Amino acid sequence: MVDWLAGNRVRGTSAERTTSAGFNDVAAISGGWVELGRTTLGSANATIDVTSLADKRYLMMLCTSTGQSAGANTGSQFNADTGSSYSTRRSNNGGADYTDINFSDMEAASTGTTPYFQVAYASNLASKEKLLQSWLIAQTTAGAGTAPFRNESVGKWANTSNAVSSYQWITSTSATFDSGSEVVVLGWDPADTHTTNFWEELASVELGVAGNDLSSGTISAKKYLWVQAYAKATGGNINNGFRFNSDTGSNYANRRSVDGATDATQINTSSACDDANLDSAYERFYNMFIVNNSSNEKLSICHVVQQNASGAANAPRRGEYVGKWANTSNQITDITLHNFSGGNLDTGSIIKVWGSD
Amino acid sequence: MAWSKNGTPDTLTTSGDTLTISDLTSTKFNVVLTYLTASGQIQTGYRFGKTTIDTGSNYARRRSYQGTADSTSVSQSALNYFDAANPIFSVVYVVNISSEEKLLMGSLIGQRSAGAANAPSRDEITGKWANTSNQFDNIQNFNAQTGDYNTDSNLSALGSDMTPAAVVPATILDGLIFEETDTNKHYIYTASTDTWTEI
Repeated sequence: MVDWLAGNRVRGTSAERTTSAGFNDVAAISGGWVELGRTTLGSANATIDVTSLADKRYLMMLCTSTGQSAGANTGSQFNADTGSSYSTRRSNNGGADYTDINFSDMEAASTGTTPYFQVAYASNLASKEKLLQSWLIAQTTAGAGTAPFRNESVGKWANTSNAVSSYQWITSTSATFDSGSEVVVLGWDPADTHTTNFWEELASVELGVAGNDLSSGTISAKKYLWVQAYAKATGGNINNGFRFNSDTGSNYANRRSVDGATDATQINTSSACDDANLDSAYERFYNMFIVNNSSNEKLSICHVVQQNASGAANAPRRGEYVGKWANTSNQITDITLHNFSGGNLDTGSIIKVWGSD
Repeated sequence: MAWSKNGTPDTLTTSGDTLTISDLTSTKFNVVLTYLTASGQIQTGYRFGKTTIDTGSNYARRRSYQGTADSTSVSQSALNYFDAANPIFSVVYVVNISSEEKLLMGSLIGQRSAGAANAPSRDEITGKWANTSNQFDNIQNFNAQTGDYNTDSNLSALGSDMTPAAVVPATILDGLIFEETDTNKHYIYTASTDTWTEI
């Protein structure tokens, strides 16, 4: 097919010019993550089942529990297969990996009866085993005096004959998820032409004057938030954390690992996902997901890459974070990347926020 | 602005060592999805470029394999992560600002041997492309191992700064210039006579 160019021009072969079939439609700008299905529990249940999923090459799952009847691991299943068709590799709180094989689900360890939030991606080619990667935060005891728990997992469903048509988020015991717990399944496919994106842009702000704060400004309150930020330094080092609704109090608690080191925790601190261990003058890039229910603590999963010294002779550094904001009365409507160190966030630093209910 | 498909996803119909998207709109924030099937030993290796892929020693990376201590590799010709003889699925986020080094982070899962009796493998990854003069508009997965990416391997990208728009049916307007790649000739279209004239 021909390539459409600016200025009433096209580029193609002689065969394409002399046959009308060579002139393809002009490509659309389309095909973001689209919602395939969701289930919200109306009453407590041990399984959250999302069915009738369209066949998409890639899947994204947003899983949130408002609480459990007892502490339990969570698990993922596809197509309601409860056989010994799964295996998993996982780490709790940055500890050593351990594996499960011939299991009836892909387990992600968790703890406590308070809310969990999990983000997962899956590959979904019918003729191949389905591969899943996930990150989970458990709130643990309410309040900023207790750091959250985290789990990172990969798993596979050893089915090579079917595409995923349903997803089950389960507890590993007889425990039940509380009413209001929810799973949303999104899909993405190379052939997609829709323009119905799940993720709506809520803010896109580039810092015009160097300073310690890069704010999204007021954003619409959405249940699920996706944040990316790029931070560069001027006049010294930067060490950044995310603050919500301009809350500068000691209302946050974090768990973090830098460069794969043993997890450290922060409690009663003044920002989420504080990257103190990466304090430097080097630029960095953040990716964060947040569940944003008014009556629950706000749970976030964040990753960061730091440039380190410039040039390909210097490997970048990395951070893994989970954080919570112990507010149970408001949804987040403002996100600020705040610098605690001696320098400033430079002009050109950027924060973007997407959201959806 | 919204997350939308960026460029033309590359899905292999014959086995090979590269998957490339060469028509990206340069957006500052990007998500790259890759699913690799294997014919022999393969490796996930990200490369970037402006107009063409940069194969120079301009990449550095950090990784943790199976949750073990981080390892680093510098001055490489690609951001290489784990290799395997089975499928690999990766999701990475990339920031793409012209005057700054391009930073990548994400994760990989490797299927390992087929069947539920074999646990998958994982890689937590970061990397950078030490280019500070261009936004990339090309991205590639490059296999440095002895095998090939097999058919159905796919490289897809989403960009953050896209404006969603529906498909527009092709309309050949009067005066359209056709740049013919196999003959290196140019033609102009005359709508009233439905003819092409070499120019």
